Amino acid sequence: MMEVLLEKLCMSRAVSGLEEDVAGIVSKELAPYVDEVYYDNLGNLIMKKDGTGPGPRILIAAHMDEIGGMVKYIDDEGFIYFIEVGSHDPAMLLGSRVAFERNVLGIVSRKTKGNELKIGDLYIDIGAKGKDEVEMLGIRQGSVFSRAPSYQRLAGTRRVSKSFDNRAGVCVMAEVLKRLDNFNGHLMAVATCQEEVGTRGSKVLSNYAEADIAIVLDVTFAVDTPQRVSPKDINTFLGKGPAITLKDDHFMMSPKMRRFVEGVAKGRGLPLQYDISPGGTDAGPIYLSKNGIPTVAMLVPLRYMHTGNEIIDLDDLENCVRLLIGIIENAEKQGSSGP
Amino acid sequence: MKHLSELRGISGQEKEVKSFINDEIEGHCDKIWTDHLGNLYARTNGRSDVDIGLFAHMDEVGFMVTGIDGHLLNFDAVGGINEEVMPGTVLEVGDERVPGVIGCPPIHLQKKEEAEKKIPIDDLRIDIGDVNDGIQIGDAATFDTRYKERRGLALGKAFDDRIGCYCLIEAIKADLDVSCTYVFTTQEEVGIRGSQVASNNLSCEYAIACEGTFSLDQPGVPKEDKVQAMGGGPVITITDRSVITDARLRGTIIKAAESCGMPYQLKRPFTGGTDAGMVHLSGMGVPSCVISTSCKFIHSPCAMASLEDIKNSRRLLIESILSVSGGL
Repeated sequence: MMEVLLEKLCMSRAVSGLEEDVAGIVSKELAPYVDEVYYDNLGNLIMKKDGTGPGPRILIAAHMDEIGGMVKYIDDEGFIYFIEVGSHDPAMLLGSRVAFERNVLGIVSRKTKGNELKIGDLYIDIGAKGKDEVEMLGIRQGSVFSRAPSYQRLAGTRRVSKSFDNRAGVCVMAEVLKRLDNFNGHLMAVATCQEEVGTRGSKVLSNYAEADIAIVLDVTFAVDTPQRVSPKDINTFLGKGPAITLKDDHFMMSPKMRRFVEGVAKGRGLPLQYDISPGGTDAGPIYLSKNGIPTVAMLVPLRYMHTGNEIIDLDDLENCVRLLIGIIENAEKQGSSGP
Repeated sequence: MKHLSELRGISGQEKEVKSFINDEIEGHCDKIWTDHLGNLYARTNGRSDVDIGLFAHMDEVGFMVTGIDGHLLNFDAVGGINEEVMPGTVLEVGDERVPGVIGCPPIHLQKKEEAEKKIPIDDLRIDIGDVNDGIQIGDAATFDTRYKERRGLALGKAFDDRIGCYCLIEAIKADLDVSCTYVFTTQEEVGIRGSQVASNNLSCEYAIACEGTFSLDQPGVPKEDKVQAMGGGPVITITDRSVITDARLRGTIIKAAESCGMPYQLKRPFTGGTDAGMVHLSGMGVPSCVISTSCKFIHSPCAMASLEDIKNSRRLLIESILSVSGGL
């Protein structure tokens, strides 16, 4: 069931600032399961669901945007130069396929030779005969492209797609909203926008969201690959369950929250991993908002982040759903002050 | 423009600019007030469906005195200034406008490899001659540049963002029948701080920031990067490092430019930030856009701009306010 939605989410495009397609899918899918659906002015999609009794206010956030690029210049021959939206590894972008609006496909090539590669050295070829044809296809300055939509099965429960970061998180949030039927308190589930350009959606969300506990759903680096630096590092593995962030560049988990989540996982026999990594998620702005909101960043392990071939394990998704339901059900037992 | 350009106001010391703007707009607005960070607000009430916030920052890049050793002053840059343009720059230091120069060893005394090397700011000093006329640590030092106009071009300092201030002042003086809050912000050049405080205190449905921005029409820039140039008309931002502008608001502004028949340019490099970067993240999110004037050599002792561009930016701002006033 969950995989049908996951594939649909991955096959659509939502480069930061242009999340309408994915927001539309999510709101349509979840409308029957929630009490209220609306947007704020930046483009965050907010869904509210009230429980059967009094209890804590719970905020769930998963960003729906993905990295991509924006056209800065089209030369007379029809080659397209671009800037990145969110961060790419130029070496991984080289040779990959990208898609503009109306599903116009292009490939990324380089104009320079040598080892060093910068985003500015790359250009896109959509096969056009000249600038006029590019423009006829609706591509102009400011047009946005994503990595070409893809979703495929790999061995066992492993899947590959261009944008499991963070459709995996969005999918977990959707599944939880569908399965929850008997809980206390108030849920506010938000598909946030513009995370990949600096957690901007969650900054706006933090201005108005009132919550006793927040759970941020995102993905993290699985380093169980030949790139693994040292076994001494705290490492996150594919298929070994959701990882909770202890610290990143903008967030630290409180020991109290850590014990709470560990207790839930243990009580329900669910696997749990730890994440200590650079960068940041929507948890950064959210845990600093209001009087400080106790926050959990629950991440799906993922290989090859920000490339066109992101790999996840469906078992991790299922365990993430179960853990989140556990957190919601246990949070309410703590009363309205949260865990 | 001449007055605005020659006013002195590094980040955190915008008093002179503020009092000039206050005098200019008095009588054209319903209310003028400030906050504790020094932002200047001007309110106009009108018969419009929506409330619009307009932003321009008063501060400019410059220097601050950090140490005094007789006639030699240690200093730090306030805002981003290329260290290569510093040696030889003539400055006015402190409230008394003491003339000084950032010392530069004459070429006769330099070894070849020294001459090729950039001197780090820590090794540079402002030299004010021999007597210290009451200059204190913390005093501002600003570029000593007089404003000049010739053949449709303007030369002067602080075009970033006195051009924006100029456009806002002109919009206020146009006495539009639109509900607007005009905010002249402080401390933009040190990390868009003024507008952070301003956006805590404002509630507007749309926001437009006015900026003096850079020009890419310079030697050494590859053709695919020469996308915004002095003389090419107002620059309407799609994205910069701080904001992805609201598509509907941007569309309205582009339409306004087209119906005026003026040239315009679209900005999309992921560098540079503006007050819009702060404002659009406030409250429930505020749909925001930026109208800029493309200038050569900003953040240096002397920038260059086209008078036609400045005129068009002013007109585009006014037309945009009118277009947006009925709602989008």
